[in-house]
Amino acid sequence: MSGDRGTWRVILVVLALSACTAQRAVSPVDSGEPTELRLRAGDSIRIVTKQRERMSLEITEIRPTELAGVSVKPAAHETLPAGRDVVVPYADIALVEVRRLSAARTAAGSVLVVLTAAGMALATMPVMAGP
Amino acid sequence: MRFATLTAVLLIAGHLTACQHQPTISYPKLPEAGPVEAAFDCARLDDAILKSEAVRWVMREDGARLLSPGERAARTTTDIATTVAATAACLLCPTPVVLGEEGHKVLNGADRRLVSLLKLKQDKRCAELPTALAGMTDLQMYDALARLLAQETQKEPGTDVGELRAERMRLLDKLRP
Repeated sequence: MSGDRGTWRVILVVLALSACTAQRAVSPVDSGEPTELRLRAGDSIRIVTKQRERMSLEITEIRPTELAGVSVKPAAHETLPAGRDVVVPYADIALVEVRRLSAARTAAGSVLVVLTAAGMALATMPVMAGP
Repeated sequence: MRFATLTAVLLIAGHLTACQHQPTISYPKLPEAGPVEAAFDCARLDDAILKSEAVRWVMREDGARLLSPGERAARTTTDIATTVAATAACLLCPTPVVLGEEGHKVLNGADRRLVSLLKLKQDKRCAELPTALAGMTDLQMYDALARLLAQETQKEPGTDVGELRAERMRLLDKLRP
């Protein structure tokens, strides 16, 4: 019984965590800043350059023709170690993905968690004997 | 219980044997070249081709591939069947494992963007660039790709669309020298 409870707790935590972020990706057509993503300092992004380099960064500065950042833990297929200062000219970006907290997903996740918890409570509630 | 076990075995076996496409990053929409790209000069067209090719390379590295019409239909049928079976076996189960379409749609979009950019390059009589295929330039590759796509569209009797798509993948994998 306690094992079941632990499993349900893990499921609830996973649901709550996975519902909070959203990814958006673009492939810039021109060589300017990819304004459609409204990148800003502090954003976590993943980049593929036209030279086929892949990296994960946290942006530290948005400049007129390039962005500066610090590499974070490399994702699959990435080789740049964490903690390196990186400058990427906008003209070199073939693909940029930004991960941000998503208010809609967070709200939806919370509702899902509450509904799941309510369902569990109902399912595990002892049946009361009638008079 | 037997039904549930069988479903689980089918799902896992299908996933391990058929689904090789594991996206490691969100893919952007890659539309065919339009009025914006039509206004590009040759240098900017080459730049746009490099960028689209890099995105396509990521898809291929993630395992995306073009499927034949038969393979696509089989996957759709299998996905519907396993979803129904999984739902019937376990109402509380989250999303069942699906085979998906191996990244066919996004890769096909990337291919068509590249071909449309190469067409613009040819229309503007831009200088040809080498590819990784010995003796074939990018514009010669465009001619071959355009023929493959035309054959695929015409669907003449006896045409093996799967083979045409396999050849398209083979060529575009070698676009960059």
